[in-house]
Amino acid sequence: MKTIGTLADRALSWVIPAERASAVTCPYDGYSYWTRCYYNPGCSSGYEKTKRTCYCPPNGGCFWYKYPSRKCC
Amino acid sequence: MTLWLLPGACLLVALLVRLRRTYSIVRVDGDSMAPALADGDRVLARRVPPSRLRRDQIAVVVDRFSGGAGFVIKRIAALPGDRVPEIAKDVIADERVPEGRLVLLGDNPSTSFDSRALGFFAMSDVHAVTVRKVTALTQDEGEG
Repeated sequence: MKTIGTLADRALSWVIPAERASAVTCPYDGYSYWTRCYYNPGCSSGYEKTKRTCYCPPNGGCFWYKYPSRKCC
Repeated sequence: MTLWLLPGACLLVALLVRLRRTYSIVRVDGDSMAPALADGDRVLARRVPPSRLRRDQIAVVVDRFSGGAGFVIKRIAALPGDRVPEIAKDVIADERVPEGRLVLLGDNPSTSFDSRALGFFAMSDVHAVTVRKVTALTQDEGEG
């Protein structure tokens, strides 16, 4: 059954056009963005925002820094 | 016997044209859809009209953000009229998804660049939705 499936997939690969799609990760080391302002009664304005930063270690693979910085809006 | 050859050939050609117009095989680049899709996986994708999109489908969408002419692949988290998921409210202030828009999220939130940072995606930018994984080719066939 598995062989049939493999053969069918191979036939599909010949017939159907191939494309690439990026499962995009955070773009580059140091890239960051501020979120919109959230309610936070601890701020005098009543709102705070969060900065999310992309971190790309030398051994590869970028990810969002686990401890984002925050400030009052 | 030969009488049937021509119609048979025409039917086969029509079938091939329809297959090529409806389906494509998409190679996934990157890890933001892990664990569902890993870097290098190949998936069969089917073109569907916006009315056929459903939540939790994995969509192949025109990439409007990186300046390239390629595609990105993400999961549909919310459709028009749905509540915007809490996790996607970093840059989206709306309570509900407006008409013609989508919330797309990667399955791997620690790396994914998606609606959390980019906001809504346009429904009209959806190119296809994935149907199933395609068996991996050998090393030689997979490249290029």
